[in-house]
Amino acid sequence: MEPLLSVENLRTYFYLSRGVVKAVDGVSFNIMRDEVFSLVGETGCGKSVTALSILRLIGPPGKIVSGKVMFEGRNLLELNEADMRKIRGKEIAMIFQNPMTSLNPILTVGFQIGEPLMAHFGEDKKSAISKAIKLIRRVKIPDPDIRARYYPHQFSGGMRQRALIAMMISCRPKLLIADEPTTALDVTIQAQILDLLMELKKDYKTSMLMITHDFGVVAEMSDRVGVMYLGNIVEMGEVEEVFENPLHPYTKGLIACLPLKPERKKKLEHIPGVLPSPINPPRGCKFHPRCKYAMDICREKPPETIDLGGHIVACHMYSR
Amino acid sequence: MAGMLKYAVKKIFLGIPAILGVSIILFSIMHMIPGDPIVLIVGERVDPSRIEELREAWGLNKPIYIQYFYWLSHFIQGDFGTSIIHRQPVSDLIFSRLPFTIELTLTSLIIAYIIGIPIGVVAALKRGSWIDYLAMGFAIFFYSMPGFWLGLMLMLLFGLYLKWLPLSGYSGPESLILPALTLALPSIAMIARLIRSEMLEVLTEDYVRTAWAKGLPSRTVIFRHAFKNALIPVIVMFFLQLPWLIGGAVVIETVFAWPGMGRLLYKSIVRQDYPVVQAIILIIAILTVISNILGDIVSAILDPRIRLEEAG
Amino acid sequence: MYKSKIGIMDNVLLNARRIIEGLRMMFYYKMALIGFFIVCAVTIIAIAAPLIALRRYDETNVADRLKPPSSEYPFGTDDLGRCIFSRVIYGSRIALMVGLIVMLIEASIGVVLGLIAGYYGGIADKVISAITDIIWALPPLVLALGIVIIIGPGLLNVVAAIAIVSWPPFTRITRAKVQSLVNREFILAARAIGENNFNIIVRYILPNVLSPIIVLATLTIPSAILSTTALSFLGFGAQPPTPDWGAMLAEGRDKMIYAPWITTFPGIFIVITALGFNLLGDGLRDMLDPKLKI
Repeated sequence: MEPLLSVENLRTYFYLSRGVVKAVDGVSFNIMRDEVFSLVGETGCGKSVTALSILRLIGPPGKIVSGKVMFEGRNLLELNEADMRKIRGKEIAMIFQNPMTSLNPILTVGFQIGEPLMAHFGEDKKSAISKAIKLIRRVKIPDPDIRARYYPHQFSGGMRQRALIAMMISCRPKLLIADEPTTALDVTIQAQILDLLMELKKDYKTSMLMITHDFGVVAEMSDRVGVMYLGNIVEMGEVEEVFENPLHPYTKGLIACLPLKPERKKKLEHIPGVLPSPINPPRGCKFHPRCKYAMDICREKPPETIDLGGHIVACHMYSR
Repeated sequence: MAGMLKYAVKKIFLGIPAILGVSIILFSIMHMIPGDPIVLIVGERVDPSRIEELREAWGLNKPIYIQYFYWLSHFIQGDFGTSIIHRQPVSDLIFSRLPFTIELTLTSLIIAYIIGIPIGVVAALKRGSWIDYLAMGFAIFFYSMPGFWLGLMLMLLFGLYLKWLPLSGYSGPESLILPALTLALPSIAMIARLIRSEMLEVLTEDYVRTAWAKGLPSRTVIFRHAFKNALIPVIVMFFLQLPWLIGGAVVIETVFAWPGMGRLLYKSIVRQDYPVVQAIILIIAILTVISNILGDIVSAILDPRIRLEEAG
Repeated sequence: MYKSKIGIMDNVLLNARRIIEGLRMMFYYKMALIGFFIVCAVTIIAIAAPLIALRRYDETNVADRLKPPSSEYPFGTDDLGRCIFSRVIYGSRIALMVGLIVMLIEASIGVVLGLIAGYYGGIADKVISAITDIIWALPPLVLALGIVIIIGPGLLNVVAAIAIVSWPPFTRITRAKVQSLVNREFILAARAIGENNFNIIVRYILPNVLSPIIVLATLTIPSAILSTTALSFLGFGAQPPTPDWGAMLAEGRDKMIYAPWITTFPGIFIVITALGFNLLGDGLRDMLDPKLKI
């Protein structure tokens, strides 16, 4: 089956005065229709930049250097700005990490939710806002008629995230990107927002790209997962498969860190060392300084990705 | 709207102590001026007993705080005393010149905004390009220029060599051009720099990224989401700038012999016409407080965060 | 107490590192570099004025009255036959002194008040903030004129008047910065080990508020120079024969029609000097504190 979105060998670099940061350095993955795909990794591994690159929301000093983003047969990286605009918010929508700052403080919430409808379907302000009220009700904010006239600062963090979700599903996008949608929220609110997202995903038959650093969220929500480390996907596969049988030492470390598995009750493990500087990443396999299985070849040559029947890994341990 | 009104009333009440504070400072300043005010007013060759009589009549033998209230109550009633030089009520002198000063400062502020805002916005949108460098280079250049010297140079160029515009004085609307331009140029520089830095800051805000992600056309993102937010502090600056321009107008009006309040202030200082000086400074102070209050109110109108938090 | 000695050493090292980093980064900011060169050039001119100037600044030569620029008089002469070039060169001394003195007075008043208001808060903060707001709201030039009326004209009086009315930005910035620091862990820790308030302010807070103060101080110099020249131009500042640039402009003003060089050259030097400091200050801000709003 043809994937809905296919990212091929994407590279996005940031040109800083101190050097070039290869935030995304050759990332490839597919998202099928009706699928939830997660990208997981530590802060700074390039997962958010990957998401922003798909929508071409990377501004200077960042630049998408090469690769392809195929969406319904078109390479998004080759579209002109006007065609790209028709994709954003309508075909592919994105929810951001920080709901507190992601809404415009001087426009009413209702207007902001209705804006995509005005931009993409040429609706007038009045009908856009009346549809916005329905959307506000759909994301379970009480008193939608009144709340539509409120300004963002009158909303709590959880309500703002709901408002952003309403805004982003207003055009029934085929793909919804959620960039750490619950990180900035209280723990009690997090589950509600995730439930809402899953519910909407089913109703709207939307595919989802979930960006998170939380393996718990991955396990709960997604069908497939890609694990990112310093700009590369090091392992990718069905969620159950990756969980039960992690191949890459980094993934193993991440899963061992999880407190939720009862059989691992002895002692919480951790991955030794810290994320190296993205300006001067280690030669060879970028993970080798923190890897307890590191071999000589790991210090010399970056590993190829190996497909073990739908379970993909980039590690020298598995090469022939 | 009721909240807005409440907010405005609150701000106005907060302005009253500021004006009183300024009036006390000013009254004390005038008391520290060397010399007997009576002698200054009536001249030195007046019979000492007559001076004592006048002192009695004007309440100048009373304790200083009584004198202050005396002076303040007269001031509130619009009685600013009599000019020593012109021998006419200070209020007449001032109100015949105030319109000229307001005409000059408002014109130059409006010029500054009309020219400064587009320059700053374009510079921000083309950050790092030659347009940006050129605009900011010019801005810092005019920012570093003494207004009166700029005025002299413009006079030299347009008045003397090209003979396009009247040199100085007031002989019709074309007389306004040079002084207004002189006063406006440094303000253009300031406004352009301000809106540029505000735009650059706003363009990196998360909500602007949200606007892009929604697929809005770029002009909608730039104007509705970025520019409107960047404009708030710049518009508030309009009101904060007004009193500063009145200060600058003292020098510019003197250079161009513009018949406004600033030139009157200068001449009165030179001729030691202290009742006029005192009244003008207090009026400028009041105008300052008023424009600050207006600035607060306007920012509350433009920014719902201030409006709702402070009124509630 | 050896603990606090380590504190000082750390601070010195940290500041040294910051200064080195600053110098390195300065090269990324060409504008700041140009400003730096202009400031250096003006300083050298001021120091070496007797070597550069062709004549004494008050040397009159009635035979050469109102001469246009020539090889003998590069910037021409005024109505007393004084060499404008030499006067402009000597004038740089006055401009720099004025800028430095005003800046030092303003910074001392402003920073001390800002530290007190920010650190102690409460009544002290309320009173200081109210005074600061009132003074800052008023047009400084008008206020300075008011003070000159009391203390009389003269260059030093003008310098004092300008400094007295222009310190509020220092107070505001220091206060805001201090407020953001007082509840930080390292200040609480210093309190916990029993440091007294004075030591905390001087040793822990002051080093951390220094960078915005340096930026503001640099930008204060050109505005002080511009304000003094304005007051001198109006006749309240430097008196003849002082080669003050503002006073020179005032003298040349009524001769502008037939001797424009008298007003042109001192003005150009004012612009260059102010431009140098403004470029340097802007660059320093970009380097030390890009979010600072001055």
